Amino acid sequence: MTQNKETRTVSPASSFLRPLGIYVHIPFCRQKCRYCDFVSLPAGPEDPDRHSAYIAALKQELKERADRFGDQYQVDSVYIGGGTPTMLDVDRINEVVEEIFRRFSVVGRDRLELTIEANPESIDELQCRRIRDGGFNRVSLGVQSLNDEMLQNLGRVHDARTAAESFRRIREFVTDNINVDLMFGIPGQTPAIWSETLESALAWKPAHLSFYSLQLEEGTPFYRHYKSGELELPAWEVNRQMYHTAVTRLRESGYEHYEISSAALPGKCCRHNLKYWSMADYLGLGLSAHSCLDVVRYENTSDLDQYIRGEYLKESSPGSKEERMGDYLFTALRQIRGFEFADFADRFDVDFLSEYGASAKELIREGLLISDGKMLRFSAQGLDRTNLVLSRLLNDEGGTHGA
Amino acid sequence: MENDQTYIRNFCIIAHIDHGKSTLADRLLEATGSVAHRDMREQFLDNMDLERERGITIKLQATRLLYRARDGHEYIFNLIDTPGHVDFTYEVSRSLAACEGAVLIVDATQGVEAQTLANVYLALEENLEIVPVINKIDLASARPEEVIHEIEDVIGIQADHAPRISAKEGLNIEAVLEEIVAKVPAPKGDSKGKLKALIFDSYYDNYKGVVIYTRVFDGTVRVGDMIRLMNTKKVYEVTEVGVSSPIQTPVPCLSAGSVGYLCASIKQVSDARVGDTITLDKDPAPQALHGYKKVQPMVYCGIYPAEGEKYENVKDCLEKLQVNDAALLFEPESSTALGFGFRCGFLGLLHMEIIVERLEREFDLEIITTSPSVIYKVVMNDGSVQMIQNPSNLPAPMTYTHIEEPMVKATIMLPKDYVGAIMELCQDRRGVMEHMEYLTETRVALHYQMPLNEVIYDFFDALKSKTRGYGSLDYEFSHYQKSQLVKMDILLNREIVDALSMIVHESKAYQRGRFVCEKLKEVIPMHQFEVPIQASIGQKVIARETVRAYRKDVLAKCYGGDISRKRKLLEKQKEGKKRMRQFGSVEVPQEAFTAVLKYDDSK
Repeated sequence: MTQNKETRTVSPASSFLRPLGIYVHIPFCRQKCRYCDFVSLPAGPEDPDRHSAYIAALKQELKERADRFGDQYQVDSVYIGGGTPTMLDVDRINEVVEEIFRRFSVVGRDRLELTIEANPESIDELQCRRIRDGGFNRVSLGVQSLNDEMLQNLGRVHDARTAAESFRRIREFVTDNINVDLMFGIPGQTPAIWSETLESALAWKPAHLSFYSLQLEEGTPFYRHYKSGELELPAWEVNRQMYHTAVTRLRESGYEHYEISSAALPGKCCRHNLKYWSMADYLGLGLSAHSCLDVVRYENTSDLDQYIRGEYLKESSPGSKEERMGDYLFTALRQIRGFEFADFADRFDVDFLSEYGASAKELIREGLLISDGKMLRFSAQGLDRTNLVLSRLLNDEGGTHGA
Repeated sequence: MENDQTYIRNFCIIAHIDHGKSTLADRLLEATGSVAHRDMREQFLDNMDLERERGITIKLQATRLLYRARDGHEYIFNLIDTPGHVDFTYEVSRSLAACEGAVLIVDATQGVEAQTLANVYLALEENLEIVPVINKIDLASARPEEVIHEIEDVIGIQADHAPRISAKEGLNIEAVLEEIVAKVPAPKGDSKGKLKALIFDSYYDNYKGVVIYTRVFDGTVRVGDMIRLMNTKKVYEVTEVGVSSPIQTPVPCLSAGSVGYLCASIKQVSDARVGDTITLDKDPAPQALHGYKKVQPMVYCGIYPAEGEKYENVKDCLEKLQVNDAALLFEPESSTALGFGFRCGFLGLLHMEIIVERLEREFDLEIITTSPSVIYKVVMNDGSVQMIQNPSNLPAPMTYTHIEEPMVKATIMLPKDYVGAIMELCQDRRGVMEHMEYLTETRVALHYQMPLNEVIYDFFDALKSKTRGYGSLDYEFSHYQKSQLVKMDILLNREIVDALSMIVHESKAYQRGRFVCEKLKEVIPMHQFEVPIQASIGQKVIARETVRAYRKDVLAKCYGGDISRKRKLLEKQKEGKKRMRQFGSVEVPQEAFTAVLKYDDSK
């Protein structure tokens, strides 16, 4: 399919349209996982009214945003995340995608990355067909683990067999451009259990693999249980060992480790996520979604009723230059290759070394960061302490940016 | 007619909380046509949101009503509303001083309560004529005959002619108006005499400056007069006098017997102290009115600006509140943990809660309050005495011989079914029972000697909870008593947090120490390292809890472009953020300071 010119007149200035990624949040889940603090609402498939109202609100928000920003951009990635988007009849999601085509200028299908997140328990053949019919060319599958005990510990509703079947089904009916999401540092997980999950997933040869450490967030059952001593986690050192095992095995298997928690076969990096890490423009639609358009950040409301009423936005802020420089650093450094000082200078008209040189040099001396004088990136050791390193890089005294 | 005192009636309404005082006031306004029915908001006189929400009156209001009585004359009624809670005895006394009579409302279902008695005694002290009224007779559980006997037996005044009314339903309101005409004496001042007017309330108005509510006893005050406030000795020119009916309406003058308001471009709120006497500068009265009683705060706590709040803002707001509330005292103090703030004195715990809530809601301040404390008398080795109201200032144990604590006479009234539970509670709070009396077959009064420091620590909440809301409490200072008191410190990560130190009885230290440590463990989030929480007396640790460590060294998943989530995480590592306080390397949420004070039903 070609760019949708029927409904949108592309102005002579179209050569100046900037690329845009669109994120659409579907906040529904069958049940809330015990570690999750994202905005998601347990709602069964028996709740079609709420789903319909939400889809209608999404389309309305999309229209309003398109009216305001549409003529400056051309969409080159769309990412449907959640929640569990596949909780809904995917045809409903396809309506939203069609709306994007109707309202925005979009690149050709061959250049468009169109991703949907799917959970194993909600991805039968029918849903797969709908995903394919919607034009999706990338699926991110929330596998988390291929060990049933670990899945239970996490409070996930699927088992390992369902995960494997859903992966095969997606490959058969939709695409082989699949990301597999895995989690380590799960209660009760040993390095052997992790390696087993990792090897099973690698045997599927997914195009992309994400591997995240479980994190305890305040307000979740996991946080409370761990704090009170009812829940144990693998020791910190074991957690890090699992991370490095994954990095090593992925590289040995021909994947490029291109972001802290992501690896891909050549040419299969997630273009949409790269936008978050390179301060490119993206528009977030839906409950609690975030946007970054022309250096202004927007955050949507987290209140579903408010959202459905059409009060989408919670706040927006251009942020100070200092904040934007901070944002750039802690997103750009997520990329394993790091960033170039020249790029920093281009964007901010500030010399990185004169601004952050003192703390950067110390972190380099301690072996946490690596630089060849033109760029900066994390060392393997630094990847185990990203928070500490970034906190020191951005906040340590000595720079002119002050406290 | 304005100057004929024969047709003036100055009165207030006294009642226990919830017995219908504000509702009756509304009905009186309505019945005299002072407020059109369509303009009535529920409880017109309680005009602060906070009062409306809590159903209690905090700030005094004075309203002028015109009533044509059955005798054919038109009377001026000056209704002075009074607060009805245990902490506000002083405010009640100020309004009583401005009146000749008091309408006493007693709930026909509940009978005489502790606060009813306390207020009646205050009114009798001021020689007021008491006009009893039986309210809520529309309720099925009303027992007016019994309640009338109760009033006659317990209070010792005639009540057989008391109007039986329902303020809520507007039933029999005229009978109340006629009783006021018949029973409340007319004022007997000399309008030609030297000016003597009592300030019984005041507030700050952005346009007029301080607005004073006053009762003129002798003389006359007019616009243009130079007045002198006899306590502060400051002189002002009167810019406006008027009456509230209930909208403020200017009049040419206020003379003996009248109640009204007065403005004099007073800028400094602390210059118009409630209780002060107004006189004319050129022809002053020889001495001030005796109504003024300097209030003694009984409860103290620290009030500190929270993270990001300015010290100056807190100071300004406390000053603004002080003009309406002569009972509120404050002075600067500093804390190692909380920086610069104020030590504030209150009449009681409710008074403290109200001030804190007003600071937060009306003035939109972010503040931290520390554990409330009473004033301890510390007798030093050399025989000298130190008065200590901040636990951190307690001298070293080797330097004093003993500590004395304030004791109160507490009167608790309650249905007899709860007597066992409440005696147990009082015993647990180191109370000593003096006697117990049956007011009626089902209602009991318990008289206790109790340490004030036990009363201010959640006693009222416990009483309410254990009597399902039917218990009532009144207390007054009795004497100082030698007591085995110790200072308990709280240590976070082995460092004392001075704002959490408290003075407790030796026998209660372990229990309180454990409770505080458990509460803190609940509210303090996990850190990269273990956080020990200890309660100690001197060097001796008496309770300990530990918040376990959780290493959060790597960034979480970047979710839907939500950079703010991570930015917050990094900023959190930078320094204590809003609503968090940094003690050494430990972050403590501000709720921790109140969490350790709350009554816990599970105990």
